[in-house]
Amino acid sequence: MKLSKSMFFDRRYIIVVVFVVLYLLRYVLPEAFVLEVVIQSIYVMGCSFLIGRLGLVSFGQPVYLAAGAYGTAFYLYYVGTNPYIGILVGVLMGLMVSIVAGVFLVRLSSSYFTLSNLAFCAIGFFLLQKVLVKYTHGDNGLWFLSKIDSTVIIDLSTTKGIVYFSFLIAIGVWFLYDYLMDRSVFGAACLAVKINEEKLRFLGYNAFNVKWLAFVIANTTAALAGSLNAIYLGFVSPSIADVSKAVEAVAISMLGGAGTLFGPVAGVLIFIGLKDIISQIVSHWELVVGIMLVAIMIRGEKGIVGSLEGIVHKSITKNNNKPVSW
Amino acid sequence: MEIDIKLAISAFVLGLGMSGVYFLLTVGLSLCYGLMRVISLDQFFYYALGAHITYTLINITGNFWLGLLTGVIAVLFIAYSIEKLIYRQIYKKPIMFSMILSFGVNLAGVGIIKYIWGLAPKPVKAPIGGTIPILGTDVPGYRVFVILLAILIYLGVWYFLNKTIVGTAVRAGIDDAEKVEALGINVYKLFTLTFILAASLSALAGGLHAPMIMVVPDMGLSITSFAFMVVIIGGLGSIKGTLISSFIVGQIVSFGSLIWAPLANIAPFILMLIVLLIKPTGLYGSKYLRR
Amino acid sequence: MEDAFILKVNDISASYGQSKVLFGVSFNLGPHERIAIVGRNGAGKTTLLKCVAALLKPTSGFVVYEGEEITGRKPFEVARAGLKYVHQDKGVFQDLTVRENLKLSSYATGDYDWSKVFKYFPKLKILLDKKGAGLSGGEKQMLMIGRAILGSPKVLLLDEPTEGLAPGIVSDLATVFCELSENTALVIVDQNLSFISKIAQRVYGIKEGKMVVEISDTQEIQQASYSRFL
Repeated sequence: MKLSKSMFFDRRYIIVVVFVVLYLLRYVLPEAFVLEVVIQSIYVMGCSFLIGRLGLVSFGQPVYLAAGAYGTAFYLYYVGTNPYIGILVGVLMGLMVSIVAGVFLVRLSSSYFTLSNLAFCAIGFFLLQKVLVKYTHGDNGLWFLSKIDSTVIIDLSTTKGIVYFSFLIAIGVWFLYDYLMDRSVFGAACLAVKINEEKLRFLGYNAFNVKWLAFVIANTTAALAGSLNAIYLGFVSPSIADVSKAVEAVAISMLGGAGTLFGPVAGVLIFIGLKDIISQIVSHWELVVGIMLVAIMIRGEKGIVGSLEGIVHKSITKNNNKPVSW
Repeated sequence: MEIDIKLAISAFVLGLGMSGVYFLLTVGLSLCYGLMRVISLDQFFYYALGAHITYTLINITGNFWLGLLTGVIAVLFIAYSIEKLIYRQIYKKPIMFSMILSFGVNLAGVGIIKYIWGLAPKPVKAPIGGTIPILGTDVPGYRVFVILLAILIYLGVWYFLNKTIVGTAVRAGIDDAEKVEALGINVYKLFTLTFILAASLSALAGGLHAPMIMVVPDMGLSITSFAFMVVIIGGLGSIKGTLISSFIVGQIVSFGSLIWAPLANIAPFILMLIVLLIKPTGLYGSKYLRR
Repeated sequence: MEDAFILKVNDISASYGQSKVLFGVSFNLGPHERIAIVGRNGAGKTTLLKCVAALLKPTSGFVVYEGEEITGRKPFEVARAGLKYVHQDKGVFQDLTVRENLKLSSYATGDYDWSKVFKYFPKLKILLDKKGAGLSGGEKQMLMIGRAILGSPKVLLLDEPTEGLAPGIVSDLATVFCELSENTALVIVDQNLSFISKIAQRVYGIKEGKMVVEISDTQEIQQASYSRFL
């Protein structure tokens, strides 16, 4: 796990460069597409971290996305008008939901964890669509676009402002994950959970706490993406937590290479790109996404970034056969 | 809150009917997990497909039973090809591959159903009308039939697993498939057999459920959460656990909705959380059964 | 030369994911021979046997059985052809009775004659209706071997057969193995050197994934002097 300092230093530059390039893409590609890529990348980041660094595969990601989106929506629809506070409320909502859900779910072994999260997602959808109709207006959703105040510095009531803000947030998130994954004891502890939970226990760490913290961080990140999305659209509906989208985040993580820093971005770019292109030919998105999932699972072993890193890694560490993961 | 006895009996029978459907849908899932260590989320596609084919055949021939049978047989062949073409490639990979892959098959399948049959809800008339008096309460005859059929299927599966040599091989494979192979038995044949058995039972569940609900392409998705709560509560890989938890969940759904409609969905979820808190592998799941 | 060996293992390399476990291992086995492969934990013995039985795919090298290359064949075909691997963890099927365990092997091989099983292990006859989970370690090992000799295999690959067994049972097993080898060639992987000294006709030593020594001198085998190589 020991890596030279300069390499990390480089990586933070790479993060900035990647997102600046992505930001500039909006002059070539539709702005909506670029924004979707960034927000989805933030959404997938947590999921990818959980899979790649802890071996936890959650099929319940949409429900955490929805927690953030609805937190923001409730604030903007019922309480205030400041989008920044709205995002804050959304993130706090996601934090709360993940803390509580984590207590129950994190203790479970692999398949149970995955499927319980799926069940949680289904229940979340049901609550939003049917039970809390009084507050969520069911399938009609909540509309609050006109209630968003213009703000100083970055004006979140404009699309341009949201794009700008989302990129700043994304860079922040990536700095955080860069630190979490490879420069902290916590990151090492996470990998230890994945490889051998028993040994971590002998070292005096509480595996549950490590997993719980990782779970909370990852799903709060998902909630943050939900908040940004809600601000951008000015609208939320229960379909955000639809069970049929439960697997997308996981599949994109694996497409990009789970647990890698840039995997989510690459995965999202390809996934959304393909989906958009194919959907223009075939109108049934389920069919398209379904076939894509099957193809990814059969073809993709390590994901795009994962296999690229393998090649790079080989060329760097020719004389050193100790496995290094970065 | 007072529930009179007649209401209770009819809720009990209603719950049993749902238990029957849940059991048929989840027993295959459980078997697949036990033997192949895959989670086959595409069972919900076979369930929806079984219902749709039943619906169409009723429209053409007017015969429910013929529709049910055709649905099961059609799904049998489709599942056979899917197992051969797709599942074969991921048996040796970690379990999450099968989950995502089967979810993909499920989505694509539902997409095809939407393409062929459209989105409109389709009613199916129960083939057995009338009511049967039980303890002075009239209960729908069709529900009683579904309950009896589910029991029959359970006995059949039990007989297959415990009294036939192929079933014995399946049980041995649930313990350790590699050792079965080392004896000289073609485990892939067992895998195929188990998979198409699971899929046909799911199709049967769909066809049988059709008269109790509306047939829509997304019917699989709406039963997903119940099916998984059943499987998780019972414990992955356990047939007995699946049976018992189908019964419990069916009753909770039925009685829960009497008290407060949303409880039908929420109560089994709460039960699942409680069970998992006490035993993280479900009621009858073994902690050794994982990969 | 062709008939001298029933099994030829040639230059097998294998790895689990990124880590290499075997580096070009070769050995031969005569038709009625009893050979032993010894080595420390993690030396790659189990991996080697599994590669021979086609349960694992070697990264390079090949296995010739009865003059035919079997690398890449399906494990069940190899087992049916008479080359059987006996797992090391006394892995009888827990949920199955002794009878069902044997039946399954009969079903696989088409050999329903259990008399030879009871000839070597008369105790199994009384245990027929007991579940695998309820057997003692020695009984499990008897069942594992009894199950494997149905179908009269030509080669048995035995992985740690004496592990955790009482000395009395170990010496019984030694007798059984010597009798078995009249019809079957045996490859035995074990750590119990006194047991090996008693039964092996040739000994291969494996260390860190490489064959380091081959000994066919009877006296040397009896003195277990090969242990210095491991």
